[in-house]
Formats: sequence, structure tokens, C-alpha cells
Amino acid sequence: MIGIETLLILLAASILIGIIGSMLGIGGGIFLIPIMTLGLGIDIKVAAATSLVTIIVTSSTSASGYLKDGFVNVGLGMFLEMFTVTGAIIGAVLAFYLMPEFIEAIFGIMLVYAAFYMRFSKDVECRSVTQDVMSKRSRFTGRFYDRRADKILEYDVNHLPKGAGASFVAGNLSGLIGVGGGIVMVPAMNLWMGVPMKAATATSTLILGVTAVASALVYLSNGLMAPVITAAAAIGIFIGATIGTRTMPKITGGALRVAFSVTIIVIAILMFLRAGGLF
Amino acid sequence: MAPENLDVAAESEPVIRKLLFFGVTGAIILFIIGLIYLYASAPPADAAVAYSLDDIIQSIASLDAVGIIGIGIILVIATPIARIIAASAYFSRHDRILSVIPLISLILIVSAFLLSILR
Repeated sequence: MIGIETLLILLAASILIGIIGSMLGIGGGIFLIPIMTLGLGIDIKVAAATSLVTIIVTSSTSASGYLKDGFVNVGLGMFLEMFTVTGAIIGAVLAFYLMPEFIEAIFGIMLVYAAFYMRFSKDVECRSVTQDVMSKRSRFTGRFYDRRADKILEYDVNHLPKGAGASFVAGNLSGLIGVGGGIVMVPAMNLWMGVPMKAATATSTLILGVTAVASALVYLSNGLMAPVITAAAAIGIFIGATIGTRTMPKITGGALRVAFSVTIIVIAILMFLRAGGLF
Repeated sequence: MAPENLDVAAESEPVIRKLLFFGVTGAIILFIIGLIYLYASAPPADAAVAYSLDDIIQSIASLDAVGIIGIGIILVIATPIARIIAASAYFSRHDRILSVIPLISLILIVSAFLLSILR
């Protein structure tokens, strides 16, 4: 039984998740689902449906703020979301045939690698020297004013095919194990495609919403949406995402990378625990 | 994509931004109204009860507290879809190739939804 006290706890937890999710370009489902299932005793499928709606709230709230600040690369975001949506749909189908524990364990190892790589490499601060042919033709060049560094950052997007592949994997994982694609998209854009950290997290928030819509519609049509807890969680996420979106421009790209790598280490631990059947 | 198309993508940003902002803000207002209405009239014994799509549609038709929240949920889900449609419509006036990209995502989402209903 979920009473009003539990609803208020969910609201408070959602505010915190909204701050983290909006600042790092991740949906936050990986945190919200265990809180709802383990902490509050909510059914896993209902928790997943709630999580998907909150991912869309994070996406719409953060992306609208980041668009105002000029961080979002709209063209690149819309190009990559074609692949995340395709991956999410195929992932939802594959979920019936693959062992999620195995995927989570592999994914956890990938995340640990990405975390250490991000922690010890430098953020993108200039335009790419060499570009592959496809990226050069597409010319998804981006620029934004970095308030913290007090300079305009202009960048070229590189390795579009690799980015498209990573987007497909991100969407696939979203469909398979219910995590937001941001934890794959942000490192892929930053480490492979040469997108500065702030632009990568902001563009990721734009993509997250569309990826989650496909799955959310399936949950809604299958009668798994609990309107009351969804509303409470969404309000909390909205408050948190508004705070996070206003805070992100004030911190450095390097600090954002450190925060991101710490967060994905925590997510990797959660993945290993899930793979081990601990929750 | 040619360099001038970058400007088209950048020019679409205010349209997309307003759409996302008003969509999500409208939904949150509906959630707040719905929750206040619900707990002021008939607080539920269990807030985690899942509703079927038919139940949500019936609640919306009768405009009760759950129905108001239901409209909010639909508005949340519809916002990124509206963003895709708006971007595609905006780009179609300037660049056909750019307008096709969001349309592909839209077709994929609609197809997945229809398949899940028909399954």
C-alpha cells in the first residue's frame, strides 16, 4: 500500500534524481527504479512505466533550458535519435529472447571502462583536426558560449558511423534492460565524436525523450501506468531538472566529466548487483 | 548536410524550445491539480494501482482526478512527438533531407505503438 507519506518520499527522491539526470544527460531510471521497487515496494513493471514518463519529463525540461543556452546540437540529436529509436524497438523485441543478467554484466564492465577513460582524458576544447568523410559531409558543426570558461567553444562532429552505432546500442539497452540511453550516448559523443561535455549532455537530454516515448506508449497500452505515483515522481523530476539545468552551465566541463564518471561507476555497481540477482 | 542547413537547425531551436517548455509545464500543472483534487476528495488506499488504457480514457471522459492526471501523462508523452512533427514541418520549408530525419523516428515510434496494440 502506497500512502501519502510514501508519495512524498518518492517526490523528494525524484527531485534529487532530476538534478543528477538533467546535469549529466541521463534519464535517471537506473536510480528511480531501485528506489521504487526496493525502497517503496512498488511492482517492477509499474516502476519501469513511471520511470519512462519521468525520463520524458527530464528530457523536455532540460532540453528546453539547454536550447535556450545554445548547448544542444539539434541536427546531430535528431540524426542520432533515429538510431536510438530503432535500437529501442529491436531491444524490446530481443528482451524476450536474451538473458538480461548477462547483458547487464557486460554493460557494467563497459561502464567501468568508460568511467576511467573519461576521468583521465581531457575534455574537447577545440575543432577536430581530422574528420572522416561522412562527418565532413554532414557538417554537424556546433558552437556554444561556455559561461564558466568565458569563451565560445566551436567543435566539429567526428566518427558519425561510430556514433550512430553507439546510439543504436544505447536504444537497444534501453529496450532490453530499461535504462536511459544517456549513459552510452554521452561518452560516445564526448569521447568518439568530439562533442564537448556540456554539448554532449545537453544533446543527450533531447534524444532521451524520444527514445523513452516508444517504450512508454507500449507500457501505457498494456495497462501498466499508475497515474498517482507517476504524477508525484514527474513533479519531483520537473523541480530537480529545472534546478539541474540552471546549475550545469555554471560548472566546468572537467567537473562534469568527473561527476559523470563517478555516476556511471555507481550505475555499473547497480548493474552488477542486478546481474547477480540481488534486486 | 550543407553548411547553410546548420542555420536551419539552429533557427528551429526557439520553436522546439517553446514546444517542450509549454508541453511539460502544462503536464506538471495538470499533475498538481489532479493530485490536489484526488487527495481533497477521495484519497486512494494504494497510490501505486496501475490503470488500463481504457480506465484512463474513461477517467478522462468523466474528468475526475485520475482523468486530469491521465491528460497530463498523455501530454508528457505527446510533447516529444509534437517536437518531431514541428521540427519536420519547419525543416520541410527549408530542406527536404533534414525534414526526413525526424519523420523516420516518428514512423518508427508510431509503428511500434500500433504493433503493441495489435499484438
